[in-house]
Amino acid sequence: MMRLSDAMVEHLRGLTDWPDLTGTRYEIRNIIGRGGMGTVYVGLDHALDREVAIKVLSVEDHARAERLGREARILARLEHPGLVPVHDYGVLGDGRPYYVMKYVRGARLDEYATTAAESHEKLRIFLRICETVAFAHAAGVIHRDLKPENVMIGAFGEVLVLDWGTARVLGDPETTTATVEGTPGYMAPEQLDGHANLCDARTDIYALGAVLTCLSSGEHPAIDAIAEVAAAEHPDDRYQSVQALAADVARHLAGEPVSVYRESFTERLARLASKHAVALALVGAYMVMRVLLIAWR
Amino acid sequence: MHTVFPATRLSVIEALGSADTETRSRALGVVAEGYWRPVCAYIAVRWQLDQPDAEDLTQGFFTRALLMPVLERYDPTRSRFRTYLRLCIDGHVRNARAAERRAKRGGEMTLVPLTGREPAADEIFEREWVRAVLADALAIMRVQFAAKGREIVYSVFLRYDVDGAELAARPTYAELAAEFDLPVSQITNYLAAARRALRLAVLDRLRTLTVSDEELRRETRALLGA
Repeated sequence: MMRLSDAMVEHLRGLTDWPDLTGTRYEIRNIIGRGGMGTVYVGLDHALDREVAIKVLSVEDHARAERLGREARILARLEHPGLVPVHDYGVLGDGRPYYVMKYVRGARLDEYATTAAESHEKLRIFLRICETVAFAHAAGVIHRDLKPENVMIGAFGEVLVLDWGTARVLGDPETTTATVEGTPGYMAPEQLDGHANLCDARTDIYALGAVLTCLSSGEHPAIDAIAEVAAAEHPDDRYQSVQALAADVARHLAGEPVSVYRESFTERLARLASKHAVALALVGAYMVMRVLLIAWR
Repeated sequence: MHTVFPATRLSVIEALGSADTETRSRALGVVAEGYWRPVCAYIAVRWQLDQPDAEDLTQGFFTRALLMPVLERYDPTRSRFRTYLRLCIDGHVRNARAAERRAKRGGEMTLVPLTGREPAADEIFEREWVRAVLADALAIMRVQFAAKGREIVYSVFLRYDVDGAELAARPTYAELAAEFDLPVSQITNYLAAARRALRLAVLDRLRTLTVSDEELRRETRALLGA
């Protein structure tokens, strides 16, 4: 029997997972990434002559197949600029399901945040994430795995929330699994403890607090306070809606006081000075002119 | 041999504990068939032995497994079978080393454990296990295609996806078509068929080597790197 070299092993490993899309309008080109549930490829849609992303389940597994199908249906149901549109869903000849979605070029938020972006830019991105999550909550969908790795910043500045595979649809018992799913560090205590029935919108708010900490920790005490309240241990101590969380971040961006942070007198002065910097500069310039005119006379 | 344990893979492990020597022997045959080469490669790398010494220890390990209750103690609820097997092998090699020291015979094999600069034991065993599963899957494919009189499919696959993986630039489909005197569309069809067969053969092999559906899924994910 032949001894396979390391190069052969790696190539054959990839081939074993490689989806056979013969008979479909799609052709796989390259791997974009591997996740816990499946592999995402960039492919070509021959019918429309455009690149697409194709997510394929790696291992035949009824529960995961259900989950992939559910993810596709959730994304198809939630039409929002912050969500990747799903174009198609199918099952490979070997029984593995896949779905086809828009191919988004860009960077993951965790990469983007380390390379670019001033504090305000990161907060604006955070607000866009909040908009998408709030939209999903309004439709009764809880993401349950929000983290910077699951947010994509597109080439045109679009902010997309990805990976809805662990999402819970409120009122759907099939999505209320007792299994602990999510990412440590971003999972709320009720989620970590496996209390799936206690997970609600506030579970995502906890994760958003952790994302905010990751993006802007230490940059401003008001933002730290917002993140701390969002990621409070008990759900009742958190913001009760994503809109309330986003409103505080928006207030901070607008130079207004936030609801969860009592600022000192000097901080208030600094904030007001920062907010009215242009007006203060004009008044200052006017005063200097006046003084100079008086002195000249 | 597969027909002996067709229903559930756990029965292989159960059969290892059978009072009937023949049943035990067959069960061990199933395990040895799947793991002999990864075990041998693992011993060679982990204990820095040449091939004949590693083969001797591998043979000794499976012989001992036939005579002593070793593998049947495996508890599927505590670990995957592969992990348990590796721990048994480490114990076997350590015992062999201790016996060698006791015997104090000069000139025989010297067992040198790794220093820590090399890949971790689990990594070595997994790498060799993946290599063995894929090699076995290729052997299965070759036999299957030959049985259908379609050796050409396997030959094209071997040339492009196995031997080709070693090359800086794999042959193009057009070059393969010229080499095998086939249309290009036939080459791509053959490759697609062979790749489908590879996945099925790998899963078939893994099914033989695992004791439950859950372990099969875990091992499949491990093999795919997913």
